[in-house]
Amino acid sequence: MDIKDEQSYFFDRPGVVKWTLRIFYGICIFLVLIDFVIHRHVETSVERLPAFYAIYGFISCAILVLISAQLRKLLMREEKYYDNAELDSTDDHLSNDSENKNRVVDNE
Amino acid sequence: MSELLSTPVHPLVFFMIGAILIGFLPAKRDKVASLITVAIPVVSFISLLQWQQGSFGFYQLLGLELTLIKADGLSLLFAYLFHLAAFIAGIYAFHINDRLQQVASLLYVGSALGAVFAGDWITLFIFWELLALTSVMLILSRRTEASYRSSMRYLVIQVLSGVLLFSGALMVAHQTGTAAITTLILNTDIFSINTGYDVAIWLIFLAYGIKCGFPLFHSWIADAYPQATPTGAIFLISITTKVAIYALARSFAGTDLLVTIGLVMACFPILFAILENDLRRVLAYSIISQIGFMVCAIGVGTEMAINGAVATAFNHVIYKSLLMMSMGAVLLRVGHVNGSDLAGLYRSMPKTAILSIVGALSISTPLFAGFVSKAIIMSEMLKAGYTTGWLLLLFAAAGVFLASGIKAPFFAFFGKSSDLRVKEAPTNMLLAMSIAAVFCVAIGVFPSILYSILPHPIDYSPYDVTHVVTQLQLLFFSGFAFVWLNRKNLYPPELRSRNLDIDWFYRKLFPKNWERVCYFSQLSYQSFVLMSTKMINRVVTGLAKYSHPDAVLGRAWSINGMLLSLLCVLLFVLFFNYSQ
Repeated sequence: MDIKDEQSYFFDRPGVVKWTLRIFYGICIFLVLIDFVIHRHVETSVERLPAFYAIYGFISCAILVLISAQLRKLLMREEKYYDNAELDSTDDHLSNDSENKNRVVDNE
Repeated sequence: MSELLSTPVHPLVFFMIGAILIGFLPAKRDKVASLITVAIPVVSFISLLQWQQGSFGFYQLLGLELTLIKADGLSLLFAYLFHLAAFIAGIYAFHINDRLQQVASLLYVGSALGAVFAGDWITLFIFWELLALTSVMLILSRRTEASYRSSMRYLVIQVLSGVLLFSGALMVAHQTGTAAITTLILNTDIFSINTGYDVAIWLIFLAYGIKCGFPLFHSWIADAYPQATPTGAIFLISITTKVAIYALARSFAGTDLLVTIGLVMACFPILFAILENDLRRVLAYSIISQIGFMVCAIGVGTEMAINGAVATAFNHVIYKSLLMMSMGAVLLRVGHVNGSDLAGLYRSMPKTAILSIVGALSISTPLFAGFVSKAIIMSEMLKAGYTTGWLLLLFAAAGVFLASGIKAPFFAFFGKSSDLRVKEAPTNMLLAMSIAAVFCVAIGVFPSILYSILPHPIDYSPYDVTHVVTQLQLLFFSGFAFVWLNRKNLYPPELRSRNLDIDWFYRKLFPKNWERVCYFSQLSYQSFVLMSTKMINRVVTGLAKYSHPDAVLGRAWSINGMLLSLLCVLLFVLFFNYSQ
């Protein structure tokens, strides 16, 4: 795969990612600003907060990601965790059997 | 005769005929078999459109009046949904030539239709178990060691659910004299349960809960779905949990406990979805979260809320299938769906990438399917006074969009540059995904298509400025959080890993300790045997020793000695006789 070919992919072209992000940020800012222009009907008191949904969406995701990053320390194991366990247990079982047999033979 | 004609043909019949036809097809007719899997849902659907609401097919079993078909708005909606799902999944699986999967998937859809039309608990139980037996084939067909083990765990859990349902159903039938499926009132004050009837209802509730993926019973979803074949997974995600949602909506609408359960289901799995590396497992966790929304709505229980729940179930099947199909295509082409080892696939699979983005947007973006149904649930939660619940659902909506909408497509198709080059997905897969995408957009733009087939009358418009703007704010800022966290390197990177879940208890803790228990009991048994053998040995050698011809028990005694001993014994007896 030569360099020319790589360049032809959309997101590999210089500046595309930068511009995509700029447009994205632009829409985000627009959505916050429009909140002050339009009149939205509210059903709960928290909704009266300007740009409540934007703030809430951002904070929700940030909290979820930060909690899960902490949770990972507790829950993460290597990829073959269960496979090893399952294989090990069968191996253990066999080795236990043979050990026991040896032990019985020794005792006799 | 006229009665026979007016009785509608159960859709199960079509699916069974299809399965038998495929079973007897000559070995080389693979395309014909695939064609049958696509044609059967269409034929069955056309027949279904002629149906009137009502009950048909009465029969007797165990002294109970049973009803094979009870068609109303709710069951017909789910029947349409399963036909659509079977049609899309059939096209998606067109390229495979695995008769086992084709037969199993047809029978699976047939059983689901049997379950939603069942008019009584016993009929429901039969199809409930058939669902388990047929769907497990779709996991087994992967034919790997891991999928085999996973399928056995899946089968045990599914059959357990069936056993609970059957026990509950028999108890209810015994108490009330009828097995007809009715609304049940769950006695949530556990300490005041003192009748068999209350216990029976709890058994049925748990049976539904297991199939639905309630908290603590959810691990089979995350365990089994990612182990299924790429095509089998589409059938699986569309059917089992949705049958459970249907059953809950039928019997437990308005049970307050369901709101709490639904909120836990909606929020917690997202944490796991964010961490998970296997992208199909990410989707499996987000399925649980989405089912949480439906369970909440069923808990609220108003007619509109039930409409919201079933509409969400309908849309969820379509957009989650679309996402799962895009990941299935990646699995087919790359051989795995681990986020840690995928990136930049949009270069080689651009069409799949675009279709998966449509699936992601359909989760809850305006103009796509998910938005028009979830909006109903959100507004019903507020109307019913669950403000905290509403906030939590909003939280989950943002989170699930982050986890399955942004994360899964991003790590598969975009992300860091990579040398991974594969072929685009097969045409039939692209066609199936396109059909699902068209449905996503069509329902999103014209929600009345979906609203018109909902079980209860509905007068609702999701498109007003407030709804659209607030939803866009929520989603764009979820996206913004993703970008920001990635830029700050706070987003947990995709790592080759396993995350512990409830299944740890039965896959690690219990087997490990079971080994230990077995080992120790074996050891103690062996030492017991050894000790007893030694003791018996000692007794026998002792007896042998004393029975020797010259030894005390073996040698001949003199008559004098005998008489003397006898005299001693008699004196002894005499003495005791008089001493009393």
